[in-house]
Amino acid sequence: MMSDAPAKPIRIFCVDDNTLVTEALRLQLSRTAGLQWTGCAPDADSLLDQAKRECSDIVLLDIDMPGKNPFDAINELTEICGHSRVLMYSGLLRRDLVDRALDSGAWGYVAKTDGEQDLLQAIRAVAGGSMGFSRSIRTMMGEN
Amino acid sequence: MLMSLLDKSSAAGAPAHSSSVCGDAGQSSGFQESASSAHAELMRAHLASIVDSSDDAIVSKDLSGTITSWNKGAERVFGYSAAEVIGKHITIVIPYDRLEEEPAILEKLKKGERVDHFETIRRRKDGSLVNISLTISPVKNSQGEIIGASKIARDISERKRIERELNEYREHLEQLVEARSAELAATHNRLRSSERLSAIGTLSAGLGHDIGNVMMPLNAHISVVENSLAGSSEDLREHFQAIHQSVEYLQSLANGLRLLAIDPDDDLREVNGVTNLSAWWGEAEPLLRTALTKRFRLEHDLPDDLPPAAIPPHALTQAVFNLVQNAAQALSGMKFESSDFIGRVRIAARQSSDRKSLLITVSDNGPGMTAEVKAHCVEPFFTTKTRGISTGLGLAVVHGIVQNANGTLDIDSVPGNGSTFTMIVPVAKRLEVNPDEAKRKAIVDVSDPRLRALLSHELALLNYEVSASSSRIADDAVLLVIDGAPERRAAAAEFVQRNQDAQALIIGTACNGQPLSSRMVEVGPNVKLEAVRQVLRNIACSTGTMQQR
Repeated sequence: MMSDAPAKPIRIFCVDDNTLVTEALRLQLSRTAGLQWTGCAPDADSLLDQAKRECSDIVLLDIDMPGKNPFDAINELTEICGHSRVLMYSGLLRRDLVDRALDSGAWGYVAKTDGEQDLLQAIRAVAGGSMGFSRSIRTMMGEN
Repeated sequence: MLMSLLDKSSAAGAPAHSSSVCGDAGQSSGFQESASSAHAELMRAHLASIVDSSDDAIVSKDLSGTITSWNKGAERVFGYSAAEVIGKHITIVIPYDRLEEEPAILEKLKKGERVDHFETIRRRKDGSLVNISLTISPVKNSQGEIIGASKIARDISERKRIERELNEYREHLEQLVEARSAELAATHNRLRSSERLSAIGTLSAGLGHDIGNVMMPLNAHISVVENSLAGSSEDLREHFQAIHQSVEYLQSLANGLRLLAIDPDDDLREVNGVTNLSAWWGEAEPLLRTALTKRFRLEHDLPDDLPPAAIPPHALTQAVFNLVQNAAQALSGMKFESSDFIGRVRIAARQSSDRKSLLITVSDNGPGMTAEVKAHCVEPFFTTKTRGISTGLGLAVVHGIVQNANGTLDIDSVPGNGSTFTMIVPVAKRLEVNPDEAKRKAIVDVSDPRLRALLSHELALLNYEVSASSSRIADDAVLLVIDGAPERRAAAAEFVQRNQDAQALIIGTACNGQPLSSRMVEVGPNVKLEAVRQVLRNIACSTGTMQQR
């Protein structure tokens, strides 16, 4: 299961238009062992621009943002950075959005309300080749 | 002219006393008289024939009301022949309840007045009634004295029938307009209500979302500060604990607000519309508590083993929130008999005896409702409270939500004994792990790492023990999922051949769940996740790993 997990730190990029969120993520993730913060962008267009310069292992992607539709951006990102894995990071808890994200190529979905530990677990799961979901999403999807 | 003619006519309208046209032809004056008389006789005969052929009933009577003439039309309208009625009193054709009309008519005639187009009812020989329009004129003799009357009676039954039908149509139309107007007003009210609710839902969800967005950084910063000050003092630890508790409370409140959102895309038939009650309670409780003051207790009894309810979480929250609010208002209005009284609002759920429904109750120990209030309380804008405090929509909203979920709302309330609102909603159909079946093995031999992860995840949800290794296919595996070129079908075919219970799913180039054989299914590479899920569910059910409840 962990065969394709990267040996080096997991490189993480984050896309959210709320700077309070991106700053908090930077605080949390940059001080977590095994993770490497590579930066953030306020929208999906900036993510794609950034991807042309540097690819990250995991991209945390918000949904409710101005600019390019984040679901469309997942496929475009994969074309630029073949190994980047997108983990949706949103305050919207809707099953249809989770399904849409998975149909669009996302590796999982984390609710912002679910806390740091859920986020870290999901990041590690995705980096290790599994899907990553936080507890609210798992409950919503019918997992107990 | 007609009157005098009739006065002398026979029963069938023929002259009763015709003058002879034979006379002394040698006497010129006599001849002239005779000629004039013959002419008059001809005229009478002509007119009599007109009268006779009239469709209208033409009848004459004397001032005592005795019938003196009766034409063919009268025979047709009333059913009596002339021989039967001449000499009889005119009341023979007047119904008993209209006998008073005759003296009034005679009175007018004696004064020389006419009665024009008097619409009334007369009775036929067979007893049936006929609507007629009467025109009655006095008949005078040559001295100008009134000696009788002529009546022209027109059968207006057909006209009356049409009038009656028109009236019925008009009344029906008015009823329709009234009913449609009421429906329109009700729809208008519902729209206004749903607009308000939608606005409240959107506002609440937005607020919940935004608070959630702030909570996340707040938690992050608190953790950083807390870690940097770790172990510095017991006091600080307590402060941090208090801050964490407050943030947690705010977070749960935000989650509850989010549960108020009305999602226009929601379809109650979809799995979106399913609520696990104990999980729902965890999120909704803080919000529900805000509807109650600290004087009142919010109690719950929602067993963990209840099946999910076929109602979306946000809809259930709205309904319960309204009921709790309602209970709180009822309790607030109570004059407490003793200071020991504790207001209680209790939320409970149990499964119906046929196990098809869930009975979700919100009860209180408040003042209860009178029969009249109970009968009207679910009507929109019905309220016993002052406008401004209540929208009058609360219970109507609950009723609407429960109806949308194909459920019913029962109200049990007795003045002095509290109220219990019971929402009876269907149990959601669901797949459950078959308790008689041990976990069975599935192998996901798919090259795309994300698709492999996704399929493994979905299969784990269906109680499979998933192996992603393609190096060795375990003999006891019951499901193989592979992708790639069509030739890989051979591997799948060999697998299902080796194990009689085994099935295979091929993510291939063909499309949409086409069964290649009874135990091999192929789906296209770009098929939507929900379609793949459905195929996997079908396989899981067919192998007994899962069962539909």
